[in-house]
Amino acid sequence: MRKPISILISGVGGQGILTLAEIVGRALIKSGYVAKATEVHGLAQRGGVVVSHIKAANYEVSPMVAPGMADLIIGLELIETVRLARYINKETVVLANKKVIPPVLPGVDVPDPGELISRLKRVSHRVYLVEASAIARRIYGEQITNMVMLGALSGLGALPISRELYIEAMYERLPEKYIEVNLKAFEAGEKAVKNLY
Amino acid sequence: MTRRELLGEAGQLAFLLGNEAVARGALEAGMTFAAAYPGTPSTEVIEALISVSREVGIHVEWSSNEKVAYEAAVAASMSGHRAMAVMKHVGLNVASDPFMSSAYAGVNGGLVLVVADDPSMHSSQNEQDSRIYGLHGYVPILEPSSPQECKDYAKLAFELSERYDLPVMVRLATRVSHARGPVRLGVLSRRRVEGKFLKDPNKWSMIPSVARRRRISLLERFRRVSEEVEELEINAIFGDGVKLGVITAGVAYPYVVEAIKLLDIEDKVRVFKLGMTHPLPRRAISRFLESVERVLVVEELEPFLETGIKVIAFEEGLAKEIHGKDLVPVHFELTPERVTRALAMVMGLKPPVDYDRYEEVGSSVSGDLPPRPPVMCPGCPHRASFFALKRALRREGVRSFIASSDIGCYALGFFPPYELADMLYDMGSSIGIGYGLAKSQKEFVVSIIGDSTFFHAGLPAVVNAVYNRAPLLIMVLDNYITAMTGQQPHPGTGVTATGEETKRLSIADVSRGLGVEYVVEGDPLKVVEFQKLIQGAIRYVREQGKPAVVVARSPCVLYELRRLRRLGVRPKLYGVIPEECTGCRVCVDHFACPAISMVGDKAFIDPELCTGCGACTYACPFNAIVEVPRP
Ligand SMILES: Cc1ncc(C[n+]2csc(CCOP(=O)(O)OP(=O)(O)O)c2C)c(N)n1
Ligand code: SF4
Ligand code: SF4
Repeated sequence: MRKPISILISGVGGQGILTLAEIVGRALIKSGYVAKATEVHGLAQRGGVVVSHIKAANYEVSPMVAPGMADLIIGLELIETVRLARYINKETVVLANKKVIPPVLPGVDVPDPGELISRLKRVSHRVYLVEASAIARRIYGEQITNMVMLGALSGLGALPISRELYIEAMYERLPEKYIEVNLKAFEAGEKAVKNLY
Repeated sequence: MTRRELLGEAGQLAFLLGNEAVARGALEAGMTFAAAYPGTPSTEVIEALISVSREVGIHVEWSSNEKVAYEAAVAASMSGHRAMAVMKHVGLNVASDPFMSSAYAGVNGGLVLVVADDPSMHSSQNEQDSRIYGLHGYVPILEPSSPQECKDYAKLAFELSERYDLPVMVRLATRVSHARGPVRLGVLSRRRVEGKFLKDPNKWSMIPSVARRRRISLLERFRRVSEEVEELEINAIFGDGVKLGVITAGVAYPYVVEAIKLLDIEDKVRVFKLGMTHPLPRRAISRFLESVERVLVVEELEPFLETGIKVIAFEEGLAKEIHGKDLVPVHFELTPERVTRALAMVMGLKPPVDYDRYEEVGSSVSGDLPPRPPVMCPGCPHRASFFALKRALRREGVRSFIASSDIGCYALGFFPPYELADMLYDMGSSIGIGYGLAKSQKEFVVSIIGDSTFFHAGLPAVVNAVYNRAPLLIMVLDNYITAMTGQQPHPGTGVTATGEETKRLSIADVSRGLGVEYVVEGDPLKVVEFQKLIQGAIRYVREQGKPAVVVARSPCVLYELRRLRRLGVRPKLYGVIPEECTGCRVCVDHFACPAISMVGDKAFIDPELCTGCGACTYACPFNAIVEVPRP
């Protein structure tokens, strides 16, 4: 393979993006790839942008994704998903949580979800939306939104990773006492995308 | 979990951050003493070691600054430990004094400096290429390109250090330190040393007569490295194309590999990957230059390799076309597209993707989105300090003043509505520069410095302000920990890196000890009382013409929330009584806690964001903000 698999995960500090990225990275390695992940995030403060880059190939890949080269975008927040437009091409799978977290800035105009979604559809043919935060809240709380998205990713089959390996990677990464609730989130995510196609 | 993997068995495939892999490599080398001061992107090396220090029985510490950390590591090496000092690039500026002597003296146990550069300044005040310090100090440099190499090279660094009687630098950069990747683990060392210092002043004491001999010895030791680097296995050539030779190292290497694949030029290119970038293998490079038609040097930041290679080409009489910083920008970090473009250019090809088009479309789709800049957290005590400081100055009739700020979360005071950072250079500079301003012009000056920064490099500047007598208000924002880099303890916290209780140094006591005669301490969240304390200090400074210290003591709210969570206590919550709110906007425009916004013409506190600090109650002129029950 020449072109590496290129993935971006974005959202806001506190949404569990780094954990999600680590699990996807581990699952890629288990699937036989050389995978690398790196993130760009703000300082210690809460509420900043977090973007994680993941790449995988059969050679020593670099961790950063280039413009127009994303195969997959996983967005945990809509504004931060649209902000990744430069990486998206028509074939990029965009899997986004239908949730807007307004920037904590006085007096900003927050675009509405419909507008953000139509912008995504302008750059990609393959936009999939999931109510991951709402689903997570129903099961336990927004803390597990990231695992709902992981389940949705597995359900979509957008990456060459089997369901079993996603789950194995979850076990490796998550504390034992939270595995059960996170598995529930995963399954709910899987189910949520089943009726999307 | 990572901690489990850090002590995983030999042969296991772990998924580690570059920094964690460095820690593992050190453990495989039998390193028993690590000292550091936190700084992005280097911090996780020590945090990983802390998480296992008790289990494996090694010493790990947060030192008060990088100079002290490096000196502690030097001493541990003298005592026979394999020792390591870890810092970010600007930390090496602080440690540069002992660093320069350390190669003269050499080592006993292996001595390794791990330094992480931050190109693009994701969280730094400048970009620096630490390799230039290696050049300056005759310290060999290893540059890993992946988490696997981070582990392998960290281990190798200790062996080379002992072999050559020199400290060795492991140079990292953000995309190496903070990249996670597969690492095949090796065998953990069981080597533990008691530590014994054998006197040898002719090696360790740099009085001029000794230093002159050690200088000669240093050149000889370094010459031996230069000789043996020719055979070093981590300098390796891949491919056998002749059209283009690429010389690269460290963080740049995977970008090169990828670009070659994308451009489909494997049969035309030959790559020389240097694992050790100082000293350069002169003969191997000459042969490589001769074997290809033209050369591209790909490296992040300064033309360090490029310059060395051009010198070699010149001295060996090789008239070769050598490209480097003419095609790969010197500023900011490398990206896949930057490197792919450079390779395409030198090969006369088109890049495989029209990057510019995607940039254009991207900015047309997302260019007008509201930004999400870093802001101080809701409930951050720094905000209350700023609010009180500005009011105190106004009350005392100080219309215009200069705010000399420093490095930490409070640097965000740069932004409106506070605008309390008229200058900001380096850790501790708020007081050094504040002092100079107070001496060299007439406006009132306030220095704003954090607690960790105060201990790091603030102390000598306080001494100077007392000694040379300057009318300077010094505000120390003591939030108990080093917040910006992730809540590490420091000498004012009362615990060590590994969690043992220790003496808590009080900043007020230290200031008095340094000779400051006016020292007060208060809780900035009680804004009105605290403002009065500042007013007293302002009067003192103006009347006496001497420095005063005001310590604002209140924990970083992220740290406090974590403490409350552990205790099972829910934080308080505040709310606006709509009938009392006149819509004056003071809380939103001047206090500016991100939890408060205007909904219609009334202020509203978002209960999801409010951490219950209560400071905004003082900001509201109509007492419309009150504590409310948490739903
Ligand atoms: C010489 C040097 N070492 C380390 C750093 C990294 N760094 C940035 S801010 C900071 C400490 C801030 O702590 P403190 O002064 O307590 O302020 P806080 O963030 O807690 O408000 C550190 C260590 C640096 N910029 N320069
Ligand atoms: S991390 Fe702590 S010190 Fe930094 S902005 Fe947040 S509350 Fe303030
Ligand atoms: S009490 Fe006021 S200042 Fe403190 S966090 Fe809540 S809204 Fe912000």
